[in-house]
Amino acid sequence: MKHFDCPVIGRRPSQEFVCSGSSIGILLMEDAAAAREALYFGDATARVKREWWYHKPSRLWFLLERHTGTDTVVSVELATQVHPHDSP
Amino acid sequence: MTHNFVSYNATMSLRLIKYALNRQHAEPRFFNTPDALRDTYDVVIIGGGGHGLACAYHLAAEHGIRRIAVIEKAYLGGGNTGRNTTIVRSNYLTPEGVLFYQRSVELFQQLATTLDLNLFYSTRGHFTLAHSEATLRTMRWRAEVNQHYGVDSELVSADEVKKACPQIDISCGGNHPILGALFHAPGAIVRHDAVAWGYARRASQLGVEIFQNTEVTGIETSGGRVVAVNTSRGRIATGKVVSAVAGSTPTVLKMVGLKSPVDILPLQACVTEPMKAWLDTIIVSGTLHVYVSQTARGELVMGAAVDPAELHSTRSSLEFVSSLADQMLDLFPFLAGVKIVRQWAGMADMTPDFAPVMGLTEVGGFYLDAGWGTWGFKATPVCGETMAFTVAHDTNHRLIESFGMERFHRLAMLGEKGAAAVGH
Repeated sequence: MKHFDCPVIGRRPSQEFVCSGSSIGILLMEDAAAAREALYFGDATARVKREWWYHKPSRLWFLLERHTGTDTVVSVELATQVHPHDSP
Repeated sequence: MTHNFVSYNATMSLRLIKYALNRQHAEPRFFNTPDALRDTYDVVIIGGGGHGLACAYHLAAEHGIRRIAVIEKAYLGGGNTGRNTTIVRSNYLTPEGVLFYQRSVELFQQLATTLDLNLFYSTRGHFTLAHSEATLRTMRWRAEVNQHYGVDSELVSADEVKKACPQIDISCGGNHPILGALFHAPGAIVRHDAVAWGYARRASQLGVEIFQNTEVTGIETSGGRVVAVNTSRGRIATGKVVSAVAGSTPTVLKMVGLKSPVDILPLQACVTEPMKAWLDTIIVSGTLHVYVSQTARGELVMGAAVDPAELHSTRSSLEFVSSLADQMLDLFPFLAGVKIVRQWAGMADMTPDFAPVMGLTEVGGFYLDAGWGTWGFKATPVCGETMAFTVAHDTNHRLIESFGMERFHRLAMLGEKGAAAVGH
């Protein structure tokens, strides 16, 4: 069973979380071409990605840095503490 | 069972008698294993799965292109071709999808004859269960689109589901009762390994060269066109490259400097121990995230939706098997004592609209057969046919015109999620 080690809520099973995809910053609709690039033409090779994860029982949002090749979590941050450019 | 199956068995018996009377019992190898790569090929196909091999077969059989190399990193059919749950159907949602998969079912129904190999193609009937009014609405829509294009597809009542599958608990443990289903009579299962091996044998007979344990390490381009492929066994000069690599699509695209809307997520499946034949049909529930059929050996083959997050790995997990078992027991409580004997995963190349990404690309001579997510095996024959046409004529086949990568620039999505998400 996979667990996440969270600095705020401790060690929790992964099923309590929902992945909401990569953090791609704030998209400005005035720049449609840049928005399309960010939405559809990202780098999908195996690498460390910054992702939004939601913890259902505590209703908290987290930003995880996770390697998509090994499933190793590099860092976990509570979403309220991060830069406003990371929007869900 | 199809007529193919019966008639082929008669042929098989004659072959057995001949075989028994023959002193020399060595059967020919299924496909050739050339010692070395040639310096140049007309077409290089990356990926020795069903799609790549079907493309090689159609190029050789219908377009007269014989100098073809199929390059496979591991072993033949060892990727998603051998990891899916073998379901064939065409009851999709968009007109483009319905026409495409309908052609695939037609080709599948003839495939045992085409490949001269018993593929155990077994027409079972395919029920997609509805547990809510909203799902019934989508199914009515699907049935209308399907019927318009001549696909045998209809909405049926819960009673009809119970009649076709008496073992099912229509109330689903009282949690999410079955209200009806979309029934697709041509829905079938087929031996997936045999499909890959059958294509490999026919392609090989036509002169196609298949290289296993050979990894593509780079693709050379010049002036926006493909000129060569570098492999772990040497360089190949070629003007045409087909990528049919499912989970390795982002890696191969990076070699030609292309980005794609494909994300890689694991899709898991498992089988139970064999039991007496009791499940004639294919049962799918999008709400419960399960699909199940029973093989000729008596095992139940079961699968679910993709894993919740991106991952380039074929690891399997306890989370998957426990959640699948939980949902299966809502449908079939009597399976509580049945053991699961194997589980595995494939790397699905998912697109945002659940439709594939196929055909010509911005790089001249580089053809893409990707974005097959969780719906690729059933498209194997039609992908072979349409990709071969596209490569031979350097023009997209009419059936794949809407599947090009440029649709994401135009935001012209093909919303196929309602028919492809769980209903494999």
